[in-house]
Amino acid sequence: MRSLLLSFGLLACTGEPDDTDAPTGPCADPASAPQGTICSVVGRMGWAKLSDDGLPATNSELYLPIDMTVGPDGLLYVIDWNNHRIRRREADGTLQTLAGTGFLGDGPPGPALAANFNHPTNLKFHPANDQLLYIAAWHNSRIEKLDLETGELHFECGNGDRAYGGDGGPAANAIFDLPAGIEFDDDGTLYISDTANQIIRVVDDTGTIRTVAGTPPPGLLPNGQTDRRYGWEGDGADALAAKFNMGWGQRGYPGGRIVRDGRTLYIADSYNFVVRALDLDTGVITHVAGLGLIPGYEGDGGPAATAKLGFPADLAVDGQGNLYIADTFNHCVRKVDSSGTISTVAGVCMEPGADGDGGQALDAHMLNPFGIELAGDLLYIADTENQVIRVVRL
Amino acid sequence: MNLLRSAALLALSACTGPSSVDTDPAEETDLSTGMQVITDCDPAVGNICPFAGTGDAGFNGDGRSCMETWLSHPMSVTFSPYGKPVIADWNNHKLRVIEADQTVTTIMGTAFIGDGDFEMLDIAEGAPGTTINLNHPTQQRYFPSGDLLSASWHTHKLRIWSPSTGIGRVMVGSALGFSPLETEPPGLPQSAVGMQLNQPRWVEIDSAGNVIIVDMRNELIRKLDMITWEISTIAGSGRHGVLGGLDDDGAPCDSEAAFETCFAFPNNMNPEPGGAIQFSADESELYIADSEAHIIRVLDMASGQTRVLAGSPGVAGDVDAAGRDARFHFPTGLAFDAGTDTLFVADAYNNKIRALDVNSGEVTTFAGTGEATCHGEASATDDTTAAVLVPRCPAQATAGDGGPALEATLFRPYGVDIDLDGNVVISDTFDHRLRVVYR
Repeated sequence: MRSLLLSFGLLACTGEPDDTDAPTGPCADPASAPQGTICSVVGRMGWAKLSDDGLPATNSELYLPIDMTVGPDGLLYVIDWNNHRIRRREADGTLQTLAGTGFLGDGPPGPALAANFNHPTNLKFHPANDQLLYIAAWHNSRIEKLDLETGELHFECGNGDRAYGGDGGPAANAIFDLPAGIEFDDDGTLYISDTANQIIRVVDDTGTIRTVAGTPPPGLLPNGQTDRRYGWEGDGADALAAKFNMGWGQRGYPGGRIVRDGRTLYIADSYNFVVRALDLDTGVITHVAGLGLIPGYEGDGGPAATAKLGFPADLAVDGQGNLYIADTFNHCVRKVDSSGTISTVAGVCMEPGADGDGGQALDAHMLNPFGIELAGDLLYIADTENQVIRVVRL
Repeated sequence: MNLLRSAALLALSACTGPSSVDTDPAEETDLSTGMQVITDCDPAVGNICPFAGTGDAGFNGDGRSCMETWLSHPMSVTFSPYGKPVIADWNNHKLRVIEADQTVTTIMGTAFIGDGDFEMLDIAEGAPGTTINLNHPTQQRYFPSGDLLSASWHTHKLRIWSPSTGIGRVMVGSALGFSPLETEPPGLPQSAVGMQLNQPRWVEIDSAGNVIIVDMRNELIRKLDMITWEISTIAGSGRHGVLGGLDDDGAPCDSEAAFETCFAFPNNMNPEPGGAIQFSADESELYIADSEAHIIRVLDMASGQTRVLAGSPGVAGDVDAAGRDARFHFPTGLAFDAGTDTLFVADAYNNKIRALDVNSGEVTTFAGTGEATCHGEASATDDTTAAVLVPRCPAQATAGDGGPALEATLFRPYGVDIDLDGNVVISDTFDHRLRVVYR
């Protein structure tokens, strides 16, 4: 083992026990690998670090990567979560920081490389402007916006307080509590999973915010805390009478992300261990996957609604009626096909591990993957506690 | 090669001080990466040497030598009654100890962040420390019993960890808040059952066993009586503001009386850690780092009056002088050396450790030139709109290690502590390592 005894934080002092060479074999070009192949494309398996920019992505460390998105430019944007940074894999394969200094903080708005975050959790591009990357700044209790053209960070929604408030008024003044997920409609309408408030909110084209699903907190408890109405209720009826359990404050793991398929908004109701669907036309909520209330792993090959999930943190859709679920604490990715049948598409469920690159995804092991993203036939997985972004060619 | 090995020995020995060079590092040193080498780290009085960490920010596991272990924004070090260092490894969300064999072990915290264990046992009978998620722990102190008290900063709690069982549990705090509400007149003891804190940054334990808390975002210094289980305010009106200026609501902060005065502990959205305290030797006085006011204050415990010991309220700067002529820039960590009546101050934004003579008020520089250590970030961006985050400087071999601390560079130190031999241990936070200055 190479010693670090004499290394004191110098330029390129990344002298690690192993040098990661460029991927070879099927992972040399994951996009043309045999079907079902899994490869790590950003990060180094098992190494959690605030790494330098400008190195090949597979030779750059991340620290608890939690989500990613593929931009209109075809580049991969990654949340380097515990480094409080947004990073991008460039066309030349190197990794760069776009936003965040690496220290905890709250902005300020302005040059994004001088701004701070506190554990952002979700990324989405604006449907009408390919230079605007929206960020669910979870622990900042804000939705922020990175303008890639100017390199400036903007505060978009939320005043930074952690409570509930602002429905019916301008989204910039709204109050969230751990907004973990964001999603756009084609017309730019923004949906937000306001997870600790146990509601889904929407910002319309006038910038007004309101609740579209869940029971808003009616007030404060005697101890001054927000009176949150969590539970699992209301399927088959008006979503405004429904209850969710997407996580309780800081004790909760960052689940509760959302994804849209046409006029259906899927919601990872993580602490109910289910996936639910909101019909954006009728406002009715339904139960899609997961037996609910207790975590587990069961049911592959059968109906998704009675299968058990380990902790659905994130979701993705392929436009053909298939729903993918990051089944985080089961260490795998599940799929619900258009007929409602559930299966596993990546990872060995219930078996945490850190292997399998270059082989079939169903033989690979992951460790608490918190994020997934689909781009064409590529399924990206934030294999969070393995500190890597992996990709499966479906 | 002998020279290199001896350098490695010296470097390793720093983990537990110069008196315990008893470990032969059977590691191969590989110089092929072009790493620059400390050829000597002489533990002479006034010299600065590596203590733990490599300068890499991250987590590379437990069980390594302290000199091979990555840290992530370390905030403070506390020494057990037997001299064992415990590190607030802040952005790794862990408390870690350096064992007698100089390896590093996590005692509380997991690979993830959060607030407690999944089954929530830590708010009842307790749970193994390594199943408890933490979120940015800032500082810790040992009770005389040997249990460790942690300022579990971002989860608004104080946690206790037992070295004999490895079990951690929540001692006080729940969600962020302020309760019980202040009494009229202020400062009366009330039941601590159900009490709430808002980002407790610092704890001290007095000789009677009471816990003194810097309740950062509540802008208070509070006392928890461990026998009666009562909480009381000992300083602060709850108003955030710079002494002599205005509070956040525009009211004047002109009183220095304990229950009327303002503190400028950071309380904006997602603030950085600030606010620190130290007792004088006889506990008649409490020194207070009023971080955003850039001053060191002192509270007379008997009279309830505070006064400015050094620095000018609201004026940041870097001046060695006496009393109000001295200048600090975000003083955020304190360590008191009763033997010399010296208060060491982690003067974060000046990249210095300062020494304050509490009798004369004279402030001198103890470590750091003021220049920030090159962080060595090999940023390859050509984007001219990008802000320069860190000094882009030529590789700096040691940041001054091996030489006088006054000629060394630091990078935003948030913590300063004193080991059992009286040496000053610096949490060189933005360099992601710990350093020691021998005395």
